[in-house]
Amino acid sequence: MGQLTTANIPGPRADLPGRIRALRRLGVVCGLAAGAWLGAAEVPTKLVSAGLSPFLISFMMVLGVFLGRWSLPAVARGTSGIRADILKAPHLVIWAILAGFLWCVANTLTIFAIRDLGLSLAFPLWNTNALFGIVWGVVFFHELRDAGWARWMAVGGGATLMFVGGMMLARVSANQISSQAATQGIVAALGAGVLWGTMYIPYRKAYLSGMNPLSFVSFFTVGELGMMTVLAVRYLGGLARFWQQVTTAYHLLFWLLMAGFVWVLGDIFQQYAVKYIGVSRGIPLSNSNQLWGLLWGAVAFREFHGWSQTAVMTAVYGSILMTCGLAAIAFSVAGKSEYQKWRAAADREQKRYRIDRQFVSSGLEGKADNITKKRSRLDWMLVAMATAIFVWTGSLARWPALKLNWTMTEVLVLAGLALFSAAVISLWKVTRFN
Amino acid sequence: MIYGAHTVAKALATATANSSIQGLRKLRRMARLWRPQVIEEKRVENSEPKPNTFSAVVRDVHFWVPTIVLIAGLILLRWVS
Repeated sequence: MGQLTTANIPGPRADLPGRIRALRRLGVVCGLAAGAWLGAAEVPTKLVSAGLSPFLISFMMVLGVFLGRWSLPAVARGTSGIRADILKAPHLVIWAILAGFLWCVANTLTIFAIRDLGLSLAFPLWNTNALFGIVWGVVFFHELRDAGWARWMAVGGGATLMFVGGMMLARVSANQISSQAATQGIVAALGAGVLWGTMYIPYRKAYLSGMNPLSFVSFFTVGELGMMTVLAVRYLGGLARFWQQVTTAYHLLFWLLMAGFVWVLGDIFQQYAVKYIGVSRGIPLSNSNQLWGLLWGAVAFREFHGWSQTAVMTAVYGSILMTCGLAAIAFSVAGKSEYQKWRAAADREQKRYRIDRQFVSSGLEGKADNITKKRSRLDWMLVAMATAIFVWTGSLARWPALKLNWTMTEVLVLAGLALFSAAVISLWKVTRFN
Repeated sequence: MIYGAHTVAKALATATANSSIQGLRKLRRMARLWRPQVIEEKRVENSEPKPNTFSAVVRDVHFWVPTIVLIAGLILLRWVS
C-alpha cells in the first residue's frame, strides 16, 4: 500500500525534510495554543453552578461557536474559498455535520460532568478522548503501523500513565462528592471522551483529503447548532419553555457566547495541529487544556477550598501523571514510514471519493490551491452580524455571581494571549492559514 | 468488430482490383467507422461514474463507527439528564 501511494499522492513527502520539520513545529505550536484556549473556553461553563440548565449553557455556547465559525473563516479565507474547497470534496459536508453532532452531545455531557465533579476533575477524565483518537487512528488510518518499538512504547506508556492518572482523579472525586453525583459525573465525562475521540475520524478524513480546516469547521458548526437546538428544545420542555429560559438568562448570554467564541479559537488551532502532526500527537497536545482546566479551577476559582491536603495532592499528582502520559505520546516523532502510511491513507480517500489529486496533494503540504484575495459583501455581512450580536448581548450583560482570584485570572489570560500570538504568526508564516 | 473487419477487407479487395475511386472512398468510410479501441475506452469511462456523495459516504465502513457512537452518546445523555 505504501508503494502504491508513493507514486500517487505527492505530499507531504518524506524526501522534503525541511518542509516536514516546519509543518511539525507548526503543529506542536498549534497544539499548545489549542490547549490554552480550549481550557479557557470551559471557564464560563462554571455558570452551571449559578443554576442555569446545562442544555441552555451548551446551546448558547454552540451559538457562539456558530458565530465564530462563520465570521473568523470569512475574514481569514473568504466564503468563496470555503465554497471552492467544498466543491472539490462535497462528501466532507456530511462528515463535518456528523462531527458537529458528536461534538455537541459530548459538550453537553461535559457540562453535566462539570456540574457533578468540578472543572479540575472533569477535564482529565474526558481527555481520554486522546486514547480513543489514537485507537481509531491505528485501526482506520494505520497511523502507528511500522512506527518502531520506541514510538509504540511512548504511546503505550503514555496511555498507561493517562489511565492511572485518570483513576486517581476518579477515586479522589468519589471521596469528595456524593457517590451518585460522582458516578454520573464520571460516566458523563468518560462518555464525552468517547464521543470526542470518535469525532477525530471525520477530522482525519478531512485533512487526509486536503481540506482546509477553516472550510471544514464552517460546515461542522451547522451540525453542532442543528443537533444542539433539537436537544435544548427537547430537554427543556418545548420551544416556548426553551425561549423563556433564554430570555430569563439574558444577562448571562454574552459570557456563554464568548465561551463558544473562545472555544472556536482553540478548536481551529486543534484542527491545524491534527492536520500537520496527526491525531495521535495533535490531540494529546491540545489536551493540555486539562492543565489549564486544573489551573483555572484550582487558582482562579479555588475549587480545592475545603478539601483535605491529601485529596488536593492526589488530584495534582493524578493530573501530572496524565500530563506526562500526554507528553510521552505527543513528542514521539513520526518517522519516514509513518509519513508513507499517511500518504497511503490519503490515497485511499482520494480513490474512494474520487477527489482531485492536486487538491489532496497541495492540501497535505499546507499550500494554497485556491487563494482568494478579496473578501465579498457576504463575508463582511457575516462579520458585521456576529459583531452586532456580541455587542448587543454585551450591552445587556451583568457580571455573574462567581468568585474569582483576579490576579491569577490575568496571568492565565496573558499566557493564553502569548500562545495565541505565537500560533497565528507561525500559521501565517508557514502556510498562510492553509 | 468482425463484421467491420470483413467489410473493410471486402472494400480493400474491390479498390485494389478495380483501382476505382469509389472503392477507395468506401474503404476510407469503413476505416473511420471501424475504431474498436475508441469505442472500448468510452465504455470503460462510462462504467465508472463519479459516485453519488451520499451513497459513497454510506458505503464507507468508517461512517458507521461515529454514527453508532453518536446514538450511544444520545442514550447516555438521556440517562445523565
